[in-house]
Amino acid sequence: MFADSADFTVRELTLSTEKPVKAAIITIEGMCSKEVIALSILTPLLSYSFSDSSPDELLSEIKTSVLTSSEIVEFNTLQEAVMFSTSGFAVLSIDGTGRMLAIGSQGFPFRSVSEPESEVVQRGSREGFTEPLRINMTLIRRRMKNPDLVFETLTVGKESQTQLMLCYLQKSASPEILNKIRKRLNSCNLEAVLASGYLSEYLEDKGSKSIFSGVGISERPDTVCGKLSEGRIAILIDGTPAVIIVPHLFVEEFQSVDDYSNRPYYATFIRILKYLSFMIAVFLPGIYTGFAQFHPEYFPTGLLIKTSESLSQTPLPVTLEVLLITFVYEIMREAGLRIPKPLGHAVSIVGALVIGESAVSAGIISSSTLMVVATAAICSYVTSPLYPPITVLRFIYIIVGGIFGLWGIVLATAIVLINMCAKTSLGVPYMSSLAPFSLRSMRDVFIRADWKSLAKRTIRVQKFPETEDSNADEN
Amino acid sequence: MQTKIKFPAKRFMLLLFLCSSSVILLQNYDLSESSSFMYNIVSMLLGLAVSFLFFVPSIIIKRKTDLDFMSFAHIKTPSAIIFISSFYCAYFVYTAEYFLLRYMDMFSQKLNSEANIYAVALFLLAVCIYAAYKGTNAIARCSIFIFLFALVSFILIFTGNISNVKADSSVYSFEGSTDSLLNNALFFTTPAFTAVIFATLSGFTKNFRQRQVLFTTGFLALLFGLIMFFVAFALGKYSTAQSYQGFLLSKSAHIGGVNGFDSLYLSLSVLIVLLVISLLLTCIGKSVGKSGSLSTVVVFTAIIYVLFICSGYFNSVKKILTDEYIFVFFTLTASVVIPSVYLIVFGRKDYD
Repeated sequence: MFADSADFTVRELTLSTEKPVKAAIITIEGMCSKEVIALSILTPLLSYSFSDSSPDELLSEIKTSVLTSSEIVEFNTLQEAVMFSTSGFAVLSIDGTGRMLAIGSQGFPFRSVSEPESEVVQRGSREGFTEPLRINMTLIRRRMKNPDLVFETLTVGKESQTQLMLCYLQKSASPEILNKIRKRLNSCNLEAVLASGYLSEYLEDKGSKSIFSGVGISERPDTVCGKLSEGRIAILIDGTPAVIIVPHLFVEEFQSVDDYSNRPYYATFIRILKYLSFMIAVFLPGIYTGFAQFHPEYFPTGLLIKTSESLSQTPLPVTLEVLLITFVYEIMREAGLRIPKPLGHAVSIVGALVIGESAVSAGIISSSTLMVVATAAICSYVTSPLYPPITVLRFIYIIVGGIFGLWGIVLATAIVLINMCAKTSLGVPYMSSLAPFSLRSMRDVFIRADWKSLAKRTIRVQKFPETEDSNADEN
Repeated sequence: MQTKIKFPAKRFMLLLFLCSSSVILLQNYDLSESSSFMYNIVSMLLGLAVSFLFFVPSIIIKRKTDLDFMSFAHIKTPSAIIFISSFYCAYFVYTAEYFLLRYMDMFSQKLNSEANIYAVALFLLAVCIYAAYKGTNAIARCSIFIFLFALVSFILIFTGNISNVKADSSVYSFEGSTDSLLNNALFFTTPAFTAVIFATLSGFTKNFRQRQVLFTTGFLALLFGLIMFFVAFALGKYSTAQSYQGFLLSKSAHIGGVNGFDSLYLSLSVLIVLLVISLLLTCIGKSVGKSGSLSTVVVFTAIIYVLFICSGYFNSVKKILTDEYIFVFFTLTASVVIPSVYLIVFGRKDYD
């Protein structure tokens, strides 16, 4: 164990008693603060005059009267010693006793608390989760000064031994849902858990396969706190700022922190805009392809003339053209994400000028097709958490629209709808509020009611109609 | 799939309402030209009243036992259930075929006459298999979205036809023969097939009230009435020689220079036929006691598809499968005769 590991450090020392006793401080280099070890552990230990007693009594004396650290845990197994030392604790071992002390001296470098780039808000907190688990716990606790708030520790990953925190409000969370989560996390047989995505699939319901996710992710402590108050459960994973929130429903993808900071009328307007954008992002290229290929009569006359004129000048069939542009756009997007930031501008210029303007003027692609694909692409960023399903569905609709026309699009929509309606997230129907319809929860779906109405009653997630293992089965 | 969860009867009735609307959406209905609008309305009301009566036996079973007829029959006559199941499976296959053939006729006439209808039917049935596999609850949830789509579509179609309406004193005239009254009434009893679906699947529902069936029939009457009104007074004589008047109505709709509402009509008809066939497939699963069994659904879908191919090659098969008289007779037996016999024989013993 740690045999040849360069970061495994053992500082041997002798405690000054009448009969000197050997001791050792075990640390992992880089995980502990050297200053803390020197000031809170080494100095008190080496300067203290111990009474002549047995090693066990000596350890108790050190724990109660010598060390100045605020966090001291006593344990007696090798497994715990490994766990504590790899978590940034200094482990104190004394010759002659099987008991050991873990002394809090974490000092590893970490990213400071900053605004999450994926969830930017106009008004509201600028704090986002960071990688260390304890800091994330603090960010939640600072907002929820409620004794009901519980952090429950779990460990997953055979090799990584990643620490998780199940975070919930005891009085709000459903015990059935909590048990399901514990069971599913315990069944996780991964070697290493390095990000939240590793666990998402384990938390999804069986027989509920879908391209939509029943597991929500957030990097914002205020969002997590809001969800906790609705009876949801957050899972904090050590080493990642992305916190899992379950159960997760479709309508939540259209809610953001800003909705609750803005005036209700504007928040409602934004909500409707988001739903429309989602529809445009998914359907527009497919419908355009289907109409251009099979039903040009559905275009308004003026638009039909312009579109057919534009399409007639390009060498490719419309389906292939839409597919090609969408595909190229996705490549550029992926490249933009992965390349170093300074090169990003170059990609933007290449994309806008070469692929866009030059391709149109060269007559390779039509301007109307480019406009349709660009509109759909912009709309897909309005609901960014839904980007993966939007992208896949967009491609499917383009292909189906190009082969079967409107009929195919309707058929594909029926499949998607059935799939979404059958999906559950930890027993809660994924489409809750809409299907099963709940009039009461409509106050925060398409519209955002004013705070006075929202504050009257909080709807707990397990109280949604047709939730499995729930006593609340109302409609 | 939430098979254990019961869902509200209101949603089930919404689903049945949508299925019933398929009658007017998919059928190439031909109301007598000689009878007046009011006369046709009366025949429609008569037909729908009869349809409502088809629900009565299964409503009584549901109210008294909170079971659907199929579960009731299974409990009361476990040894005879094989015959009952076989009859109902045959009925559901026949009904699915009835609506599939009517939809495919409409597809080839109004949407794409060059398409290979066998391939189209295959794709359609594949989606139905998926929906039936996901279960009644998923289909019922889906019906909420389809209902919203239908509502928007009909509002647009009717609004788009208001400017075409030329109603005169003939609105109030009441002319027609008894024969045409009976023929029209027979056509409007077609929605009674939903009574058989109700008899089979109502066990999955909760909070059932008798008035829900009444309201559903009432809304159906309103929808049919509106379509008949616009067909009679917005399309006028133009429609008499034409087929699929509902489709024509959507084609003639225009709002401020915007038209193309027939795309909504065609989309709606696909969604409705999907609902109907999927629901009938779940009924088959329930009848054979294997709800949610993929293999059962696939086997019966294959039978439906084979029948569809046969009807394409043999006109006599198609005639039998789309015959209204056979359909109504079959429906009457499945929704009224058999459940009534069970009620008479077994009902009193339990409740008196």
